[in-house]
Amino acid sequence: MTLEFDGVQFGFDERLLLSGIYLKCETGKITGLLGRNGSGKSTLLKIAFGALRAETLSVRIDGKVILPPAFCSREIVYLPQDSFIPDDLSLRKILKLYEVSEPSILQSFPELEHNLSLNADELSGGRRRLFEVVLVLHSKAAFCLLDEPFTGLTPVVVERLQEVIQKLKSTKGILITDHLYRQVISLSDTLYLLANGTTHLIKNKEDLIQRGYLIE
Amino acid sequence: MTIGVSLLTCLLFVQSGDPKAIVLFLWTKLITNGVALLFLHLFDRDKLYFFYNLGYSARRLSVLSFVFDLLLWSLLLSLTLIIHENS
Repeated sequence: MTLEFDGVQFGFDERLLLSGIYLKCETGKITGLLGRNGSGKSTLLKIAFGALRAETLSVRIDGKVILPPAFCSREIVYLPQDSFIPDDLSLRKILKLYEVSEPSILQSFPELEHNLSLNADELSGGRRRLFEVVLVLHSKAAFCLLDEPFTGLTPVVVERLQEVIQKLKSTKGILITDHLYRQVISLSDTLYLLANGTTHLIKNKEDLIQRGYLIE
Repeated sequence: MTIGVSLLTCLLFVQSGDPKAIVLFLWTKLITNGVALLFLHLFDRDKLYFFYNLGYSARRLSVLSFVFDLLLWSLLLSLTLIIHENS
């Protein structure tokens, strides 16, 4: 399956923040999105997901136009930067609501087993973030949009999470953005840079230097 | 919060015993439900992503919770009315 979005026009106070956008995400592949702080990465993901309205936008799955909001198709899930699970629900109930099986997440992260009976507000920040990332990754949707999934996680967990993402890409299309650019680059099959409101397909490190994302 | 308002209106209804007060209580419910939804949209927006991922739009979620809460309130008020008349 292929998820594509383009034709985005979005701005504040007559200032155009995003235009000339094209992103393609395929099952079996990981698509990376890099960009400086404030470049509009999160905004772009929110627009594609349908949580934020743009003046114009086209989202297509296998060439078929999806009417906004795209999340109503249940083919796309989104991991926001900030915590999104309710405080007063147990992790076990949340897994049930998202139709995610316990063994599937415990296989990768057995340490979560002791937390399943706890409510989200009883977890540490890192554990809560890990659960949210794993929840989104294991949900039934064909496409996962991950906004800073590595934030708040220890390096060991980040490494294991990278392995899980690599495993899951065989059945999903994953779009990932994070400031840990080395991890994003090593994971990605296709890499885009968002700069000056436009996406640029990146082929190598020199492209990132040339576009001002990295210094030599 | 909305459940609290429902219980409070039932209690006030028992105390007043005036059926005409139901109109006032209905307006109270509509206003407090509106305020609760507005609060969610303004100050707890991130929690909406939990429902978006389940395929519920903000509008659908608002309508469903609004209707469910009003039905629950109607049921509570009817029960209160029955108990009050029989006592």
